[in-house]
Amino acid sequence: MTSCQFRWVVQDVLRLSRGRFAQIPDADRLIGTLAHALAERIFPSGPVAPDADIRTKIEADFDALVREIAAPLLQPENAGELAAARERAPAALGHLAQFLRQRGIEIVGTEQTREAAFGAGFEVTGRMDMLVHNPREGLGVIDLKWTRSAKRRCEELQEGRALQLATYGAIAEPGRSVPGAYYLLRQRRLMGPAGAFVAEEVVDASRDLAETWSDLMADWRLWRGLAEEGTALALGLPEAVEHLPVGLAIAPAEDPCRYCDLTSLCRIGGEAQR
Amino acid sequence: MNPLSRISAVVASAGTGKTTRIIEDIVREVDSRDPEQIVATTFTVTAAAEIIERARSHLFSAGRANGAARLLGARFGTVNSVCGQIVAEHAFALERSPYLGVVPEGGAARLLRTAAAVVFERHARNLNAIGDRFGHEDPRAVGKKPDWRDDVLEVIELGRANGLDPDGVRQSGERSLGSLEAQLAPLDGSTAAALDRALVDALELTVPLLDGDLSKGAMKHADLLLRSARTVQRGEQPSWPDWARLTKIEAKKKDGPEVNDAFDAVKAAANAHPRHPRLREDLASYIRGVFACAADSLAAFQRFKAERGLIDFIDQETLALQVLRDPKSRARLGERIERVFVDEFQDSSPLQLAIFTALAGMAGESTWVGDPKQAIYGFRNADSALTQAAFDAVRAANGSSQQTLSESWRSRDGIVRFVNAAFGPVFSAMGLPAKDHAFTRTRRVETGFSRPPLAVWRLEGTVAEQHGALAAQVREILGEAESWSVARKSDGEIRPLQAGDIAILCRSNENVGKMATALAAQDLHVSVERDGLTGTPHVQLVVAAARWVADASDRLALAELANFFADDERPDAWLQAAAADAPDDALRSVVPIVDDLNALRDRILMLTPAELVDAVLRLKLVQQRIEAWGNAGERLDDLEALRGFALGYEESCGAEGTPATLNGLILALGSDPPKRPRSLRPDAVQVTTYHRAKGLEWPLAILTDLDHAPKPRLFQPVAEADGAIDLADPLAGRWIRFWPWPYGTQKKNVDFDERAEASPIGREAGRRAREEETRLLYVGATRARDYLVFAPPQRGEAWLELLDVGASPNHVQLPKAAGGPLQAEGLSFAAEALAVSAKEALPWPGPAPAFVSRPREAKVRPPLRRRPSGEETADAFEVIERFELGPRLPLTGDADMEAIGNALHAVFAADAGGDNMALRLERATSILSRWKAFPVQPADVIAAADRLEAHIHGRWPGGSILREVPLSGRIGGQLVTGRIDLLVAHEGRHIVIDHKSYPGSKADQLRRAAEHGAQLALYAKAIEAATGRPCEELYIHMPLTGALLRVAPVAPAGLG
Repeated sequence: MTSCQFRWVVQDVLRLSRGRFAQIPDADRLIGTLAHALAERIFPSGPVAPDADIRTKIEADFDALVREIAAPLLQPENAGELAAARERAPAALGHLAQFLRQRGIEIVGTEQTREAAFGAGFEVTGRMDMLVHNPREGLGVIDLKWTRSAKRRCEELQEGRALQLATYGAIAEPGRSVPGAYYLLRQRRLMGPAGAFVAEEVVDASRDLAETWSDLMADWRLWRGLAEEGTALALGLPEAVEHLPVGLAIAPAEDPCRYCDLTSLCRIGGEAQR
Repeated sequence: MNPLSRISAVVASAGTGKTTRIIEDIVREVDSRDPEQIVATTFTVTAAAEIIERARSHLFSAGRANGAARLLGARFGTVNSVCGQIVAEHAFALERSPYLGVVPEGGAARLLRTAAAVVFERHARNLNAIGDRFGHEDPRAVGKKPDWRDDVLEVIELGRANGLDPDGVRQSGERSLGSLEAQLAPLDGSTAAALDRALVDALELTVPLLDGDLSKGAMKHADLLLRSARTVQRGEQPSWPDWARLTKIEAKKKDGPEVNDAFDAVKAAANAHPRHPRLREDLASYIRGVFACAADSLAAFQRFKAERGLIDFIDQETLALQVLRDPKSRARLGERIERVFVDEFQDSSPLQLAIFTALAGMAGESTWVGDPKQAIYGFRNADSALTQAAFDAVRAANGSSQQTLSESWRSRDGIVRFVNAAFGPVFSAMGLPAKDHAFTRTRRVETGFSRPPLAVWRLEGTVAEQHGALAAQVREILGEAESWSVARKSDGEIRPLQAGDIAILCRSNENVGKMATALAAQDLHVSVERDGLTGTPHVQLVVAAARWVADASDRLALAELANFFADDERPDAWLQAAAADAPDDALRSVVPIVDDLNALRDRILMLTPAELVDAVLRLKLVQQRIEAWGNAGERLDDLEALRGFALGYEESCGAEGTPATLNGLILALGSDPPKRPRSLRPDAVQVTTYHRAKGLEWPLAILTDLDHAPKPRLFQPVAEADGAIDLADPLAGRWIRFWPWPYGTQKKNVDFDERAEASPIGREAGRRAREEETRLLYVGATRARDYLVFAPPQRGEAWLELLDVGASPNHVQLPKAAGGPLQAEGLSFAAEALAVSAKEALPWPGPAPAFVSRPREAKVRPPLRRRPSGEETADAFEVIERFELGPRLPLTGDADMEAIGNALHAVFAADAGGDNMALRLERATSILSRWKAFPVQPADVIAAADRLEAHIHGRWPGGSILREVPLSGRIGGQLVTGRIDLLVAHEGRHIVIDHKSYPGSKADQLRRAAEHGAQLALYAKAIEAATGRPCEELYIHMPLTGALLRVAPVAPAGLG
């Protein structure tokens, strides 16, 4: 919603979406899914297992998991990616395990679903990659990412736009903002805002996760109010800036149309050239 | 006799009538030899078609229709197609099937990856790891990230174009390594461990200081330092680009001595990277890995294709060369190839040159036509040094004589003289002397022009503004078109300049796109191939319709259709519908083609993806809608491109052996988005790259990107040759050199860059790059017919500096904006010079009026071909007579009724009553056993055949029996083909009998026989059409049941 209110109206309110037919994800997404599934297997609730056990478990499960949830990686053209995943995914998860053990952090659960209501119809459901616990610090959230560039996530944290982490932080434990961090699997970087005990690398953020969440709730009310007045604003249109609700705390993203498949409805970039 | 003396080399400078010359020669040859003995190769299918059709047109005009007809039997085509013909004709000698599947050009790479998957997997671990250390995974702002698999594919492609086998490829790896080692910084005796330790120590000293209050300048290196420290803490190596980056960190004075000292320590330690023993190991391991993978993959690829009867374009050339070098095949082919023409010779690959040389040794006479000054396809495996050497060798073999075409038919005198002055010295230095390569004169006349042919428009402002400035200037000269008079090509008549006369040449596709956008902002139509076909509303409409046909649950597609069909009064009808209580019904109600699309969905299994796209395009409401948006011509061009993409998708699926589906097509549109085609409008400004401009000409050509500087191909696979070129064997001594770049996006100040560039190989690569860019500039400058415009950017004119020879600069000097002549080689040329700057984009004038064609009802036509066996009819048939010819045939064991049916048909077809019983039984036994029809006994089948024959002779005495009668005829507009089991000719009429191996009950027999009535009726109709005689009696013979059933149409009620 914060990146394009029109998209939110079309996709989440009107439920217009592509049909049953699904595209086969590209190799990067498949490896990301695979890494998430591996994490689920090697991080059961409780203390983090020793390195050797984790390695054995990954070796035992890797090929079966590829066949089950990432079979396109077995296609000839993905031979290189699969070989890379075989190296990188275990190394990344091993590094994470080591960090968690060193900090005395235990696993509460992986793929944890939480729901919370925040009044005025604002209800949130989220599934957290990893919910962890430290006796001194309490709960923490780790979101796993398989991405080529660390820059985007780093900037999100710096600019106080880590909306996903903020949301998880808000729903993980009622009444409290739970600290969180992104774990970038490819780069083996666990980064979060200052004070996050789950972060190995601290990023100076202009807005902490609790503030980000509070701003997000306020913005949600503004955007929803606009929709109730009958306006859906396609934020990729140059004129959109003149119609933004007053008092937005989180400025719209700069390139909201980049991965959007609704541009034939809002007609952005329709006929730029003659 | 030296075979080279049978070759005539013709040097044809730009615009000197090369094609005309070849055509005249071919026409002359038709007089003196069999036209079928002529071979002519070109580099494009279009060029081949132009040559043959123009030659035939000449022959027809001269009243030599026979020669024109026979010329169609000559071998004209691209090098591949001519080689393909030779290979097909000699398939057995090559131990190949004559039915070889040719892999289309785009399909070979994927096939190779499939064939070599196991090989790639074997090398992946090692090469992935080194690739990481070379920074392949580092994010980069522009361009594709490096990938070892691309390096392997490039080595394979180059190796094949240079005639290397897997062993040759492997040896190239060792040679690459040997040549590279000489360029690396010498080792100083430090061990890898010591150098690593020094860096670790320096980082450990520095990282704690980063928590302090550092300057902005120092802080920008914090991420790199932390990342490197974390890497070494994990016991891993920083990547080589990070080593290089660490040599470039800088603290500020205000950070204090401690921080500055720590930074300096890191820099000092990192500075050892050029002498790091592990850098050498990584480079060696990478090179060996890439070449080993390439060699193994090449072997696997060849096996893969051989097993499947496939060949690709390079195989066609390699096998053709094998034929041409085999004495026996060569002798046979020599009888049929007497005269050879090679066009665009300068763009030949080494393998192709070997083919042309072999052809020349065999044919009576060869003509190689080309222009070494226009050899610009080095990046596509052409080797200009090789083709130039070939030209020189041919000249030497012919007593230093060489034919040259040096009179320009294209450009005005001022342009021709300028090109001679500008390029003469540099081409002479490149071994292309003016006596062979300068224009001697132009055939153009100067009357009717008020402006000089040369102009210089200096572009002002930022880079983005410069495109706008040029676009505004184009618009301006179109406003004063009368003074920019141009000459019509056909007759020289002078007329005002039009937008379609103008071409803007750019160095990159990216700049083509920017230029096109700038022109569009000036309300000018642009003809350019550009991105975004799937972003156009007309294509989106058709694709949305196709998506909804493919998947009725695609509600987004339905909403898109509703949006596209919304009218001006209710533009948000789709939104209202989507928000209604029953949104699906509401959306369907505002999409007027819903019923048509539902009907198409019912037929989806009958249509290929391309046919479905066509079916959507044929819907009259779709056509009307798109036409109503105006600018119909361009939209139809786009839709034509969509159709082409759909057909291309089907073809590539065919080549890969994968199913072509509608969903697959929709996915392909997303994953491999097609480009919008060039506009065919005559009033559109042409924007293209210098490379694509080759072979084309325009009244006014504008050269942009003159600040471009050549980049040597030093760190990518390239072909190298040992020693002097041996034209008798152009592939001898060739190898592939590959020096990988280990520093990712770090391109400068890493030691290796300067050492490599300064090496003999580096200098040679630099020379090649400069020469190729010089030739490219020549191609650009010679595209202009009436006006040649230089549009230099503010950043300078580095490209023109390539024309300087020796130490003297400014061989070509463009006038300053204030005016003055254009100078080249000390000569002055009249030129208009001015500075141009961006102007405001014009407001959009609104949509042009739309013209909509009157819709016609689509006519549903019957299919061209009718197969009687698949015939269905609304007319009902019934059995009107039943004869019991004999008992049921006993069946023993499990029966495959289809095999039995085929076997019985075969026995009845082969069995002729006249043969003796032993032979008939033996034949029946053999057929039944081949079909594994063991449940029936041969003697029983022969007895059934006898009973049928006896019945025929009894019922139609004296009639003759015809078995397996082939049928091919036309009924109405449809073709009917099939085969009649038995046809009895009796007293001027025919009787049709068809065998059906149905074993069922009596009631079922009647039903089954009636079902086949339509098939027999169609046979009868075709027989009547072919013979003019009646054919009214139709019978089904069921040998397994012993019945013969006569079928006929059910009589209309009331007539019985």
